[in-house]
Amino acid sequence: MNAPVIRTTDLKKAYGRNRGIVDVSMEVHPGEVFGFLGPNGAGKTTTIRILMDLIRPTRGSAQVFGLDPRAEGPDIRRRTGYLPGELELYEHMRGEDLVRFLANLRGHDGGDVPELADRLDADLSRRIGELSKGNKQKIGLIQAFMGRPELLILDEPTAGLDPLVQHEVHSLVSIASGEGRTVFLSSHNLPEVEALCDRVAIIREGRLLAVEQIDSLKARALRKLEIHFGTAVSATEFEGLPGVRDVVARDGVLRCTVVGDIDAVVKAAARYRVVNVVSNDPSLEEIFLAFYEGSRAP
Amino acid sequence: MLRNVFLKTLRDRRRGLIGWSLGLVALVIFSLALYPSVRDSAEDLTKLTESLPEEILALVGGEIDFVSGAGFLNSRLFAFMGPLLLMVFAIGFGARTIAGEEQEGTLELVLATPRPRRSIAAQKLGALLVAVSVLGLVLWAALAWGSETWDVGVPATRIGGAVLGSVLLALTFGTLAFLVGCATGRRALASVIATVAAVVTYLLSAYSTLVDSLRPWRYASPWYYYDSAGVLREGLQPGNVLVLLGLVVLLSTVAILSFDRRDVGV
Repeated sequence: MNAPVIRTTDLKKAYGRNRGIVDVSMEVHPGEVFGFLGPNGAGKTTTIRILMDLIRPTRGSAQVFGLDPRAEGPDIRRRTGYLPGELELYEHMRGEDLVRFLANLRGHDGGDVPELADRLDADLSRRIGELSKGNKQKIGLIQAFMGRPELLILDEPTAGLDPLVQHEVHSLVSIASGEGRTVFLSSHNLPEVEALCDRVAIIREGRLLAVEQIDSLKARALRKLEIHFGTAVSATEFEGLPGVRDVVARDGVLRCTVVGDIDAVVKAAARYRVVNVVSNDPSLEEIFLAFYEGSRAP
Repeated sequence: MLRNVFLKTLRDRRRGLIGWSLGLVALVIFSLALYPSVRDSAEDLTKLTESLPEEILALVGGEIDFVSGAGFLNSRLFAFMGPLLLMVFAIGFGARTIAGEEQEGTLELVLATPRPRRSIAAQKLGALLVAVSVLGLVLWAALAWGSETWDVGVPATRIGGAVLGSVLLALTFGTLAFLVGCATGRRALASVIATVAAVVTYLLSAYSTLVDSLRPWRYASPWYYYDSAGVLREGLQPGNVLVLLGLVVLLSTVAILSFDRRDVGV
């Protein structure tokens, strides 16, 4: 396999008040869309800002394109498009002026800016201070994607955006990935990571819980299932089924938690008249739960 | 103007620069236009002081310079007002250009470009030096013209020397603000420290001529090397210029190195 685009080894960043990250080790391979999943404040932004050499690690090391951010930051950043998690733009400038300025600093002509602006329906002629949050984010996206960088580091690219713009972000990521470019995408939104990413690292309270294929992540996820029957059923019939737990049956309604797929439960339920099945996509918290239970078991 | 950080930083300050230039020109006009009438009444005053007994004259310092253009320019503009105004501009600029943008969060995208951090800091510093120098040139041009118009009688080169001193003094405290901003990322702290340093060293310089125990400390104040009265009467002392220049270079170097070393936007 090719050398990883991003590699962190026992990366640690200590801050005063329990924030920061501990022992973060992961590899992002060329051409993959890598999700960095965790709740707000888990350490996603801290990790990303080390890669961009905005902050320096307390211990451990990070490499991007095999280069050290501290010593060879300019070489890394020349090949990297970056969208910060808390995007702040010069409000007195017009969008096109800011984008041209950043393109100049990146050393390219910003030739694909009109195309990107068109796709995102961004207004580059107005002063940035007059724009809504979503329209500012579009300018952030344009400057990250312009010049077709080999690596895109996107920190919460869709947070607080309306679904239309979210959709555009997703299609930009898909296009970049289709062109073989690498995308490192942080998010606290599981469906987004599921939809876009090949692999995902899960981080919580500064520690990586796992780095997994999206598919195996789903297989390990806990799902809350609720089946409404036309007749009364007894819990004992479902209790021993593989992956099924916390079974409660009352008034013809069965509630349980299922690890992985729900095939066994559905087949067992099919013997009765089924009125309705309610299955909730596992939330981030439920996935974390799965990992905690997994780490407790031998 | 969007080609690099240096030009873009100047572009951001273009309105401020125009406003400050107009203000300085107005200050020069209002100050120098008074000179003819001050000189006329000062001649009466001089006659009065000449008639005073020597003991009383000694009490007020022996000699009071009302009449000469150099004395007027110094007390009116260079002793305090001129360097003070340039300082306010330089400290504001120095505190804002790194620390202010860092606190706003706007610096992050600039630092995410392939430009090395030292280069970004150096370009912003360059913009500070150029902006203060431009104000100095405006001040010089206005004063040279006003001195001619109202017959103040100080040669433009002497005025230029005093303006150069003011610019260097303002840059000393401007680069101090820049340094604190670069090292801490805190704009308010940078402004406060530079302002306090300017005030304390001014007082040190003023009191060191009156209080014997403070005399040895006068060399510690940048204001000592400014000495606008001396410059207007006798011209620039190269040694003094070098000291101020050295301070500016030292503070600038430390600023750039400290910005390169630390975590940004934490």
